[in-house]
Amino acid sequence: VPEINWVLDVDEACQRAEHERKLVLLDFFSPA
Amino acid sequence: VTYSEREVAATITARFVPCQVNVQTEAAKAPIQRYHQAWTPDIRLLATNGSELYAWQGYLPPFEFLAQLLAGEGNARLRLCEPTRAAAIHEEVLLRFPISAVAPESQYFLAVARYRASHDAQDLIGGWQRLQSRYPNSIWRQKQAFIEPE
Repeated sequence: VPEINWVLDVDEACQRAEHERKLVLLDFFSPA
Repeated sequence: VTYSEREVAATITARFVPCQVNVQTEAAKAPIQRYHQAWTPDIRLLATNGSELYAWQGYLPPFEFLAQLLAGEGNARLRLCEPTRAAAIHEEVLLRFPISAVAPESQYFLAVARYRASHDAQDLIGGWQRLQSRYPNSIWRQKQAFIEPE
């Protein structure tokens, strides 16, 4: 199964998304 | 559980920049405040300037998660004034996930996106008529019910 390489910082994710012409999927989670 | 499914992981990687915030950490305080986050799981689809374009809360199994993810992407593209791209994504939802919970929403916004792209009223009316026939009990059918005869 392919790993999802999560970015941990929202601003960094937005910068990458602009470069890659994608949207950001932001997942707020709480560990079980 | 959902993220460990091959198709979910592949779709997220191909179409989004995935960002995960553990709400129990100190670093989460700023994004929690910025996005008014209150409950987990909480998924937001963001534009590149950080503005929120779509959101949902609560766990979804893989089939429903994928449908919701694509429907959200379609709505996000519509809000970014990309109606042709939005329509293609909603068409994909209806083709791949026609019995998903979010499918009626995609049928509604497919009509909107096609209309926004063509400015042809028939694209809107025809799409909503398909919503009436395919998803007659949906809340999204009610949202266009003003066009239906008494």
